[in-house]
Amino acid sequence: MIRPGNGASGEWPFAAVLAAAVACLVVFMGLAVANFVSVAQVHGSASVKATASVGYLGLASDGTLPNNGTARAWVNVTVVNPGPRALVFDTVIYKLWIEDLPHEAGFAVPRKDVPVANGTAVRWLFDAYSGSNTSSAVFVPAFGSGTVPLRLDLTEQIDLRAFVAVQNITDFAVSKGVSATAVPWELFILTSLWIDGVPQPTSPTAPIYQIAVGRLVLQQGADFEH
Amino acid sequence: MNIDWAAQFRRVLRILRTSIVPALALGYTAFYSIYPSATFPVSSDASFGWILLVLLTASVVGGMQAEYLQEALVAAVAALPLGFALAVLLAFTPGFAGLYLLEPSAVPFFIAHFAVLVLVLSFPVNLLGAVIGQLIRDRVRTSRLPNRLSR
Repeated sequence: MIRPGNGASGEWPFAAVLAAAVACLVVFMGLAVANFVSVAQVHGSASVKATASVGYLGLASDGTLPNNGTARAWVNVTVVNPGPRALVFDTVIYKLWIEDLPHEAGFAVPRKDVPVANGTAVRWLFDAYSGSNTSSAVFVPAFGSGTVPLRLDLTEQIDLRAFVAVQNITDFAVSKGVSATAVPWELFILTSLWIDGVPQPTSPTAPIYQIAVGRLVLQQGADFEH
Repeated sequence: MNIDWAAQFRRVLRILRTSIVPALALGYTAFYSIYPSATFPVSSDASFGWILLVLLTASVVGGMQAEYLQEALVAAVAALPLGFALAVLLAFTPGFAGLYLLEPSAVPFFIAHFAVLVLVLSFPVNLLGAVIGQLIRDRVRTSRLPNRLSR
């Protein structure tokens, strides 16, 4: 078989095919890497800033919370996204603990509190609000931010056990000359968001990491019960 | 024994040149198979058809570059470690921007674990492609030779 060496005029079709193939693969890899790095940027740069405030509706004239009153919490969960991919809120898990002042004052209380070390002292916290929100689907644009506003009501009808605890704690504060709204609360937020343009695997055998690539989980505060 | 080092060097270069395309294809497909939703083309699950198409096409193109079948086969095998190294490099790319989806020392093992199907598949595909590439090369050369002789 007659085969000319490299650089012979008969080699150019093969060299052209080689160059075209290399160019195609380099473009594929470039696009793949650009996509991958943008997803990694979102994972590395997004953050959550959540705020909570609690107010009381229908307070009695002496400042105590009556049985037909409402403890209302406003929680704003804001995700700041400096990355190049948009995000969509999936789930917001929230917990709001009220500081159990009667328990800390040495009174026996019938509720289950969580002890939290605070230097040499111990704080006792009661989990008054806990739940999740999955219906917001709030959009967080690239290089922007998005907020899920939550309004959480606590009444005797909604959760008797928690309402009685909050009522007891706020009444205790009022009896000590402290306003009900001045009782300290602790907020814990765990939220997950989908990264826009990163489809979830449909295969039942897909590994967990493939789900995690397109899902961002952010946390603020401590979950004292875990 | 007198070894012609220059000739040996040229041979190694030829093999490397031949293995470039299958190695690029293996690196790309291994990376794509691990992160199908965050690479290119974006898909919810890795497409076996796409992986096979890219690997086979690249191995045929690679096989066409070798002068002899033996060279083509050696290049097809050499493409495996080169492609694996490239896949690891691609997975490291966010690290160059200071972003880590994975612990850097775990990346090679992660790639080996989750891209094992592509890595294993590429071996017979590369060998098959090398043979097909050589057949195409011979066909092209024999069809062009009479034209050149008649000038």
